[in-house]
Amino acid sequence: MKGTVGLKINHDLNYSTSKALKKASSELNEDPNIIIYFTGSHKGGSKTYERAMSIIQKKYSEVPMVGCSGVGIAHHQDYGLKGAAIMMLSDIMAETHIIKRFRIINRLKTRKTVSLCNRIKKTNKNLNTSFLFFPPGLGFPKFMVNLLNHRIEGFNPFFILNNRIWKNFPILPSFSGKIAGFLMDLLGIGISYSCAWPLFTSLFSKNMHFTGSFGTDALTMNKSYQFCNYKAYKDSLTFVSLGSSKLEFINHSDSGATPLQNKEFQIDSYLDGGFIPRINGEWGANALLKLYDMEQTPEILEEITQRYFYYLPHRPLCILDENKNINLYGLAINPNLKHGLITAPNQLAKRLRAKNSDKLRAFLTCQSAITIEETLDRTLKTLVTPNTKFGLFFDCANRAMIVGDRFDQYLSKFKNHLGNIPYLIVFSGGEINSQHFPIVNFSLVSSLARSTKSPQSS
Amino acid sequence: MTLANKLQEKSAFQKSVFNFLDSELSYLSEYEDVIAILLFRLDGQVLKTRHPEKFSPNLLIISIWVKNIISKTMEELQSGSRSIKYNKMITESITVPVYFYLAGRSSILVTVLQSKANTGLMEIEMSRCAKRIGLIIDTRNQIGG
Repeated sequence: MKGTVGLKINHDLNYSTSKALKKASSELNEDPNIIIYFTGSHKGGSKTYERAMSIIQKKYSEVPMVGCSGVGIAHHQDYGLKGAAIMMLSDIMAETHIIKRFRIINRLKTRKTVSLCNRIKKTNKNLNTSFLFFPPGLGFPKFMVNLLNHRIEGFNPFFILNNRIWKNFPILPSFSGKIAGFLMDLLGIGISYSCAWPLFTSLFSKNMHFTGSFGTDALTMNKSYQFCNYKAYKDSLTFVSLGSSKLEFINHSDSGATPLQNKEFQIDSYLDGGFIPRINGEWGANALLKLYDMEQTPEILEEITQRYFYYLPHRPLCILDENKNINLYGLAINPNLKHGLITAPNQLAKRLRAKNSDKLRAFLTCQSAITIEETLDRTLKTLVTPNTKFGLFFDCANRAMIVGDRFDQYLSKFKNHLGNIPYLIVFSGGEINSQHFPIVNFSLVSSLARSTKSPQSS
Repeated sequence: MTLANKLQEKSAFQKSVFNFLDSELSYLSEYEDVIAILLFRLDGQVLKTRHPEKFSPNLLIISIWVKNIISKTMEELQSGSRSIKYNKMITESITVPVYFYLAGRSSILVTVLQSKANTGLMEIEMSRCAKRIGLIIDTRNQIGG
């Protein structure tokens, strides 16, 4: 099995794609079985991406292709928010699939995807199989982005659907969440975790091996795109099944967040997508500062809201499992109230709330550049072995923001551990992993393929 | 090779180095969140600038302020800081983030961002740009020019 990567950072997607293609194909010397294509977020909608993909198609029209647009891309030599990255794999069985309008006709499409995955797994009975999923990504219309980003002062219309407002009315909370979810899926806006949750929990329960990412454009919050066979889609699910008898697929996720045991937090209300109508130091700002013991330093709030797009503070929350040792999920703090806001699927939020009283507890966590780097070091040390063939890393864009100007140092850790092994890192808005939880946030999901034969015997 | 050829080759190389520098600055300035970029030599001389065609009075205020504090930031950056960020207040309602990065051994990259810019993500691009500009300038200094 051979893998190569090419990456070029540039605002011109056509230019960066052709450069990345040239690099990846020159090293492969044979036709690939699958092309995995990632881009930063570029202006111009699907046409921009399809024009760029046609450059690859000209050379490899018969080769299946899959991928998505994200916040940024990186490999061993370069990184950036704009540009293209290509990974080519040969001597591997690959089949790409597109489930159109997955977000809108959710139930039906979930059933279809699950049965398709079952069929593939049965067909690949003698092979090790892994799926790479690219579900509909995160995206908001511009007016909402401006409200969220307090570029325009005003009231976010989705705030009305927040359960928190209706919690004193006995029937409304169960409806408001559903209405919000339905509207967001119908209009194709917000974070699409809820629509993807039934699919990934189902695959998770069937012990399937999968990873992937929700694309996002954190700079503009425009919709991200999913790619399949040289076409770009917005509200669809694309995925590829990789099968090989000579490879074993390894996945792992970690957040690099350390729970602060003395900072227990109440899990109270939720809204899919985690909308906050306004953060300008007016609503609940003092509550947030109090939580951080920073009441005397209000400029911290300004830094928080400026550094992270709309609400993510320096220290996200985590929920620990029953043994109080595995970080199940990251939360964001709602600066409006003293309550955690789960940027999770509604389904998960409900479950967590139900179990919260005695089994699950939420804590403020410290997720700094240092803790992220230390965890990455440990993870790669364990995962990367001499027979590792390629690696795909789905990293949370929020983690990238936390790393900030230490980014170069952060990426050098990958380089140190992976050396000449081809790998790509994609910065996304939600990571998918079948290790111990189907969808994770604030995390790095590592997906690696190792040769089943040791390097000596091969 | 004659002396004239050598000189010609050197000047072509210098030109290409300057092209690289321009393309790095253009890349960063294409972001909507970036208002202006100023590249200073350590002695305070401006090497390159990128700013909107209409040079606003606000930008002028920032430029003068940056020039005044550049030697102070230089000391701090040379003592090991990765970057320095100031929130420069222009009027009561306008405050813009201004970032200083050491670019190579002899220059400082100053980036002025929009007041509501996503500084978390822009830091990634600014640090990348500073590193690459530093490499270009250090190479240019090695060959002379």
